[in-house]
Amino acid sequence: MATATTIHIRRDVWRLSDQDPWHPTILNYAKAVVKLRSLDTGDFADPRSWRHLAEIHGSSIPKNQWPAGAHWNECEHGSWYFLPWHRVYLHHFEKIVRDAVKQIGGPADWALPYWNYTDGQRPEVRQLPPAFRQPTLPDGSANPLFVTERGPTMNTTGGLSTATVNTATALAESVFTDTVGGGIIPGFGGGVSGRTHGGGIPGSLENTPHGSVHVGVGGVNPLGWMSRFETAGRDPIFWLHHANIDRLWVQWLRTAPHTDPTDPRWLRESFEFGSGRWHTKLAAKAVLDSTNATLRYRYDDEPTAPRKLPRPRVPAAPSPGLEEVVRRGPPEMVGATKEEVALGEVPTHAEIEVGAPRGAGLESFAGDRQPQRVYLKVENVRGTALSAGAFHVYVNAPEGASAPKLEEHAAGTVSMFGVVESSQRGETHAGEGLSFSFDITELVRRLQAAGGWDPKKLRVTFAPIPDSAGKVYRGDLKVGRVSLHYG
Amino acid sequence: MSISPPSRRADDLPPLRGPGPGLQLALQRIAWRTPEWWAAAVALAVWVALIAVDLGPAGPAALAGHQHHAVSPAPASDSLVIEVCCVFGMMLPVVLPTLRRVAFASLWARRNRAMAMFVTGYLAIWIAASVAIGGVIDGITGTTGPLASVGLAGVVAIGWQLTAKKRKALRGCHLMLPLAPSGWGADRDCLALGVAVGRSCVLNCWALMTVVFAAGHHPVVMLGVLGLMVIERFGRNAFGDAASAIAAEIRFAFSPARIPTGARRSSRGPLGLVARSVSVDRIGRSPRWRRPRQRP
Repeated sequence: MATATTIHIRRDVWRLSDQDPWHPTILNYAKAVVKLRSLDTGDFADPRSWRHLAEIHGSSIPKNQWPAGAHWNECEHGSWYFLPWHRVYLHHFEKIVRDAVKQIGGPADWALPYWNYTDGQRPEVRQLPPAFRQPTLPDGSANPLFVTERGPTMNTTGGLSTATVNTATALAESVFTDTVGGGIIPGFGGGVSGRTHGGGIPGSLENTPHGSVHVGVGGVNPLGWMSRFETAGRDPIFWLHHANIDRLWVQWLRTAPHTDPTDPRWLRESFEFGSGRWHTKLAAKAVLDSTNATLRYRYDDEPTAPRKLPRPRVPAAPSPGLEEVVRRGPPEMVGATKEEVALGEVPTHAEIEVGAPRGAGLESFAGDRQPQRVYLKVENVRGTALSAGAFHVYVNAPEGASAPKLEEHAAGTVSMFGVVESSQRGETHAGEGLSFSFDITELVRRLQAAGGWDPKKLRVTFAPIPDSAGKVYRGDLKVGRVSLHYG
Repeated sequence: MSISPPSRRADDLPPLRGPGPGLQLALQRIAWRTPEWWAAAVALAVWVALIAVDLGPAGPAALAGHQHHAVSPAPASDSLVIEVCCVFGMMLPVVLPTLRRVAFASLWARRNRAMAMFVTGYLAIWIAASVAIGGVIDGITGTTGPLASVGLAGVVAIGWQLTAKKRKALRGCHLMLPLAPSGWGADRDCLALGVAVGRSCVLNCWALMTVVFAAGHHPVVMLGVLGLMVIERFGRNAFGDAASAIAAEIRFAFSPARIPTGARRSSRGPLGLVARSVSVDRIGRSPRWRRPRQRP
């Protein structure tokens, strides 16, 4: 029996599925979803209703039709609030689902499972868990976990690509955020920003695997529920996906010397959900430790010993070189494309003339005549139709190179989650699209060593990542600018 | 093969001595990290001037500048000067973050030029809008009287604040578009961005500005409206955050920690504070840069 001090354990849905595709945790989730969907009446005024919960993330319902007290259309993306906002959102959701589970006779300590799609030993985990692909529940009734608005083959035998679920780049980030401003240093958790619905640069985790999994599950032609801000929360897998993103945040913090931001602007920002009895309002500083008295959960792959997270008051020790960048200020832009670059069904290229650095960039050259840090920024990606859910970004890749050879030139991937919404002007977006940034310092050093680096010219290649059916499509995506920065 | 910036003469750079930087070097550090500083300085200077005029012998009448004010109406040229000052003082502070983004998105040598082009487009839109708003308010005040004019402007401002169009315009105030790196295309893009942000900003704030005009540009009203504009753009903690950021920049500027060698006096640059590039050889020899090679 759960008590006020119970720590709820969020478990790997695939390991539960190994025991039983309809493990009680999964079956109770399905039944709770049925119950919450039954509350979807009128204008979704009940804060526990499924649509009310989904509209919090993104909503296309006009504001004058929202129920009283609704905090809708507030998802934080392209922002350093991405992780804490979604943590509080999940906590709010989990409370409501746990209550529904109790009402249907389930355990009081029910906890949201997570979908760990990144397990190199088990490629099958890149597929949706079995219970999410079956049209009916064991009793023959309609399965609410099965959603038809997904990418091709995701409900059958299809799975996400390895690039889509790659966590290595994110977990290798040395700092949480871009403390020097300028929107150039990506960090783990996103660039410094105000409350936003896009516009800044996403952290590495938000880009991949977060964004790429969203579009990988939802598909691009047409855009399924998971592929859009406004509909993502309607797919029950959304919550398990975000539980995994939350778990990866915990995992990143377990690696010294990673820490959360110490900036009071970040710590004191609070996030509000629901209304009445089902109202949650928590500040970022209140949710840094998920095992505290407020949140009371942990993941099943965490050590069971009491968690000792690095305190945010302890200054982060940035990786070598980055310390100097932080001291000097934002890196210097040394070259950029002059025209837009189309992202299509086949790889496309952008050429950049790189100039000599004159200020901060020049200062970054150490005694061995190498820049301390090099950043590649992909700016203002806009469009109305996607050719792929994500694109590989390669630097100075030779024409016709084989896949292993291309990997030697990989800067990262850019995910297209939210690109359509952020390309439209409205109350939540300025219409500038999405921007990304990559720390390519190590790549540049490798290219230098191999003779593949020209200090005056840069060639960037964008290659579409096919969907779960192995397809790419005709789209109209364009990159506004690609730029190089020395810091 | 190495990434080698062009070599430059090192001996024209004065050596840096002492435990900490002097005032000039401290200012240069600020300029490196805060390239938009000059726009903040201009806005501050305008505010000082406006308040000085308000407290001066002519008093608030000097700022009123419109025919509808009973006391000593100012000539039309003075009125335009007041409106332009009003625009500089109120509209520059709210685009400082965008100016910063423009600077960091531009080549080093073009940073100030890029910001200047942006400001030109942005303020041109605002000055034109101000002239129009001033004309309309003059007409209304002439018919209804000053008090009714202020009341009407207040009602219109509150009503506009609640509309979806206004919220959409507010989002447009944070717009950032791709900028060409060099040539006339870079100037065009910065100008166009300034115009685009200016249009959104006018749409967002025109109603609030009618209150400022109806109140005869009274500094207290102007400060109040500026406060509202800042809070709605950047949050209720915006002023505290800005103060913290300024304090941090000043602390950093005067800290005696490792000093980038190139942050030295320069006679070049439109503002005289653009740091001069330095020799890689010098950097290599400099004790300040001699540290164990660090590899991530």
